[in-house]
Amino acid sequence: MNIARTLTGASLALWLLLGGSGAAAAEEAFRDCEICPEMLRMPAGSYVMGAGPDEPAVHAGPPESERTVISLSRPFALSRVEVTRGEFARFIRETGHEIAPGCQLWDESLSRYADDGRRDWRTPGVPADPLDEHPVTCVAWADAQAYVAWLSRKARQRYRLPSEAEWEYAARAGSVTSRPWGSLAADGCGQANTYDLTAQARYALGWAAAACRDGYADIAPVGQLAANAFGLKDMIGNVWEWTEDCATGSRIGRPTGSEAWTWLGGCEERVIRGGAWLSPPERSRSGHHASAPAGLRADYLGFRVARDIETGRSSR
Amino acid sequence: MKSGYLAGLAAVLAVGAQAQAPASVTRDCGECPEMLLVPPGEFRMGTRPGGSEANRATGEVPEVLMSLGRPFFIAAREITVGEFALFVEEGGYDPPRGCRVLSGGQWVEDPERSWRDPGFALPPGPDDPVTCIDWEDARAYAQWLSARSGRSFRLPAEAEWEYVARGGTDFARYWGSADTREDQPVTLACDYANVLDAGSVSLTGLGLPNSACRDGAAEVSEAGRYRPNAFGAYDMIGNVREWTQDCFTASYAGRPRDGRAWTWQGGCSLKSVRGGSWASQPSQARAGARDSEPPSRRQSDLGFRLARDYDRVDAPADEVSTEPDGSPGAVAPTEP
Repeated sequence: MNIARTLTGASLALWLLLGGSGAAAAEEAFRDCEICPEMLRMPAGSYVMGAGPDEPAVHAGPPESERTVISLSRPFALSRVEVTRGEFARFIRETGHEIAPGCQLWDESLSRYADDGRRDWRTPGVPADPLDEHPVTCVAWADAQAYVAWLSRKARQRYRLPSEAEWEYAARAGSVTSRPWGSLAADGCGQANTYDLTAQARYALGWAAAACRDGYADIAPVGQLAANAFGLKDMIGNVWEWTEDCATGSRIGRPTGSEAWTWLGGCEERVIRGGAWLSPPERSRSGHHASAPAGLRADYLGFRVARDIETGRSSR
Repeated sequence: MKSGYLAGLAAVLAVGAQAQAPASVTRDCGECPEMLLVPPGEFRMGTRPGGSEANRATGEVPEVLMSLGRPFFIAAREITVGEFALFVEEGGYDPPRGCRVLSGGQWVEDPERSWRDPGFALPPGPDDPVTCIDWEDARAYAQWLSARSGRSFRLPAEAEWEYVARGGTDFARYWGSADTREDQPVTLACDYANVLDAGSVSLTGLGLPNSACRDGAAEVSEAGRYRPNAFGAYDMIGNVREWTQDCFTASYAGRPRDGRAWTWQGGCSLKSVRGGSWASQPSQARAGARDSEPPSRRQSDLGFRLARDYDRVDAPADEVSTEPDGSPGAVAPTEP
């Protein structure tokens, strides 16, 4: 038997000794074209994927408990905020990409999420009056893929979804605590729009809320709260974000670089990250791993974009 | 039209429905291993959650319904020392020395041991399964044999392996559901498999007291010495652990369900290893038991068997269509 590829105490100590990720200060955002999203350069580095030492035993099951050192050997770029409804609308206008109606949203009469066949990304359940500056939701994984393909043609750069390894690295931004701001959910209302007291006052969802007020009862326009150490906004909270990775129940044997973990012949579920405005403290963590059927369209689920950075020449 | 191919398939499916009659045996060249034609079919891969045999830690759960849509061939026996020796002699490939062997009840790296001399009480005979073979060694053998025979030999996918090991049964082992617990004596195992029996315990110093039967082999035994399963395969459980094509992770969630190997880019640090060996206690000597090793592992209880696709050339000559067939699920024609 040899499945112990997860982190031992000794290798964790070594990693900490070596300085962990070289958590660099946030750089200025750049755009590849006028209508392209603001991008931030993420430095190369390494980190420990999974539930941190400060996370309660309730999160100790696989895959989060299978702590894995991930090394990103080259920098990459990640959008500062989630893709907005305005950006998505331009993509739809220019490509004619068709999305069948239907989106999962909160049904107050049923007190659960249910599919509403009349809604779509233009008319999500929340917020009540969505603006162009709100993150786009009700988009399936394939819709996000179509968006990055279009953006790549526009920008002449290789845009894509972030891998799960990249996503958690960027969310941690050098932190080793359960959340980018520390260990306590109640300290996060300045940085993350999660299920807090503001949301609880409007929506009685029946689960725990962070004991603070972030000022938003449901989805906020992108980038309203403070950034993490890499300059990224809303990595935790606001809307869940699609990643490129296929989902399975364990991390043992997974790739340990920046690449997405994907395979042929399965992959009905993709990894989603970050939690949303309705996520309880337990899910509003840097290491929290969840998955969704690739075809799901829900009004709590959107995405942000990544792109490769060519090394060896000026990286901007 | 593909009717000829499908007619051939129908005959194979009929065998599968009974799942009792031994499959037909093919030999692709004089030195090639005997291959069993395995019918397509469905089976449940993994073990039932909550059942007594499930080992969550090695990812036998969740149980997944697998659908193998095509027939394939699998070797009736593990590749032997004699078969591997011919490859080394003619193929110009020789794995270096260095192999993990059992010493005083522990697996330890011994720089002097190799497939020629894995450190058993007696030197291995030509009909014993080859051991101290890493994943690349096994693949190199398959490539050499493919070049020699004109067929595409490969390691079995993990799903193919378990499908064959179960042999149409859904028990823990192909002879029944007994012999799965460390705290109960094994009974039937010695008729079907070379596992950690009473003789192995006394020789190896592995402290497992419940191996009540005697299989007559403390370490490896000749490939095919015990009773085969319903598909005609020997030693699927016991004798040596076997490499598969698949990368390993400790869950079946989201895995391919069509019988293809589960592999990915970017670091397959562990390969799935199946079947248990002469050194396996009851919990590891099961059709559903999973194990893993780094691809570079050479160990004296670790070998392999081969598989290959069922190609058009395998269909009876008068049934082979000459037209190209692009329909979904069609088997691609092979090179001459």
